[in-house]
Amino acid sequence: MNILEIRDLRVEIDASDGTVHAVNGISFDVKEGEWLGILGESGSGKSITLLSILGLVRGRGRRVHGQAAFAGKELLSMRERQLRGIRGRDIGLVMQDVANGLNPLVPIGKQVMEPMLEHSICTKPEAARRAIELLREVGLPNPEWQMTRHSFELSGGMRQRVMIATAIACGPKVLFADEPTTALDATVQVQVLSLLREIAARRNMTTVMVTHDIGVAANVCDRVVVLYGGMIMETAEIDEFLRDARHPYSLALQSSMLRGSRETGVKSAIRPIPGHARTLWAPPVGCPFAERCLAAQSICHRERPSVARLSETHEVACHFAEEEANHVRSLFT
Amino acid sequence: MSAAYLLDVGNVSKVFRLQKRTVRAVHRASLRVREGESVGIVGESGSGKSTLGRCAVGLLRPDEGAVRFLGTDLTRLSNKQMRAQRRHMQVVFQNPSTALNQRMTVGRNILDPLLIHRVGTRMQRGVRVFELMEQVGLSPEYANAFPFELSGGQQQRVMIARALALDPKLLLCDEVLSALDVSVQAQILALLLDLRRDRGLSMLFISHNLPAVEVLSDVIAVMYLGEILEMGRTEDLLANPRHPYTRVLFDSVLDIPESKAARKALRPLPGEMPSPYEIPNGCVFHTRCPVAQDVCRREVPQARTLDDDRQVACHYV
Repeated sequence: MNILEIRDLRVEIDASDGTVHAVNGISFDVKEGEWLGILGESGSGKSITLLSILGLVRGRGRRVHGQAAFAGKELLSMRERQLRGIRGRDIGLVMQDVANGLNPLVPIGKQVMEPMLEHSICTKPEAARRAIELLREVGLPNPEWQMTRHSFELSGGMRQRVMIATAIACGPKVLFADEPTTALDATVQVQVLSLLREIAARRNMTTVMVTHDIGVAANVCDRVVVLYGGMIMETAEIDEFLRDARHPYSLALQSSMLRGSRETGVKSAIRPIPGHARTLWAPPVGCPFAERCLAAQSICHRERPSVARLSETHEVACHFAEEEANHVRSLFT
Repeated sequence: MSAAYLLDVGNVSKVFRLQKRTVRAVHRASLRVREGESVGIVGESGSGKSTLGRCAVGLLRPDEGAVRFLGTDLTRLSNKQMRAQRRHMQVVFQNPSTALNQRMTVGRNILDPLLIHRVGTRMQRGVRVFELMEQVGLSPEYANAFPFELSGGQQQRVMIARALALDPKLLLCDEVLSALDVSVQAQILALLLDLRRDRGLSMLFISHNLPAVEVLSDVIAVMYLGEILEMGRTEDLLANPRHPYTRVLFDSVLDIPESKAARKALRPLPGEMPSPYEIPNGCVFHTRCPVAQDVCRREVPQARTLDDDRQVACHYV
């Protein structure tokens, strides 16, 4: 069953010298209980997709079109007051920036209690009791004592644990995690990922995680959506993505990922993708990746590729998705 | 004695005093860089990588120990003498948008070191700027642009061009990839590899991005709480890490599995790195070490050199 259904999501944001077309028609589903990864570089529209679903991209100069249905309820047209009843209660959010995600002036216990009180889930003493349990659940040693501490007294990894505790405080059905481990050291990244996986399994929580790191996605996600230029390049089950990624952008991301030489014994050649993602001042005419694609033909600059369905779960938006898979692969590997 | 080495950092310690408390940032660290060799320093944030790097190129004066660069002890030089040495060792920092002068054009930023060290004539300097831009893969049209008009990757190229302007013997790269996007990281790494090959540049490469260090370094030093716990040739160290910390550190790099079924269990190292205000007694790693014994809590293990050019500080190796 689908817990989230996104249809033709488009986001435009006015800037001083034009309008940024951040998301250009995205449709995808999130199945109940799955772990979905949204993959892409900065500027590909990953975070803005999450934020706009939560109604956090609103106000003057920001336009969100399309539909986003959560358990049958349409979120994008919902009033702010109604949306507040869902945000933080049914859908939790963990952000990347552990430094600014917590209020340095408020003890962390109070911050973990806040969503429960805001949504009138329980009384204050009960919320305090639950907050201690939550801090224990996310692995903070001596949680009673931690309740009175402030975020600046904690390390980055501990802060991220507190943010997770806050996000799951109301027992959300869905957790949005925006680059939850990017700012952390490798050893701490493994700690936080395994914690998130434990919690998601124990609470039977659906997780949508934004990441630029294929290594992270490959180790925790069930399915990935690859974004570029605010459009979906490829959607696949993780096994299909690892074994048979077809879109040149997916392949380029895979080959530019540095792998340790420990496993293979040889230093893998680095094959960087040329260029970098540009700001989209207009919706892309052809394929948004065409200007950096090693396999691009003239049609790629002219026409938007239609979506090729390779299996029940595997879709690729590329003009050459079916015929030239091996040719494209040879260019990137 | 150290003639074979370009850089010989011997037993360097550095303590910072902050509000009456002292932070032991680096403790008795030694490393050597041969001509044309690249040494990687890895470790978690707060392990003292950057402080050691800065001591090694004379940006910080260590409290103890000696830093010999081509036989000269940098710790004994006056500021003026130090300035003359600096042309031989240049630094590329993590965040190009703060390290570059945003009010100067790209060309002027690259020209700066040539002016400071009074290299060549005006004409020669101008030619040199364009040579450097070409070497780092920047199109000459950017010479008159300002850094903020460039992307992060392009700005990092400007930083590298500026660092190369004086033809240094040693390049210190301090987390040069961290602020960049994945695909751009690979581009900058490829550039650094080319520069090493073409110019025989020696490097100190500081990063918490382990795969990048593996690709770029001949020797890797592993730091934890200000101490070098293990050091060795990259291939040997990766194939056979001896120190328990080296093992868990390398294990925390997520490999890409063939399939979902082939995923390895995430085995996080328990606990956290202790605060550098409160360095544990004995071995600095004993509070988290899976094999720690009584002796580890009592005695500081001395760094020993093993047969294969490996240096390890552990009681049980």
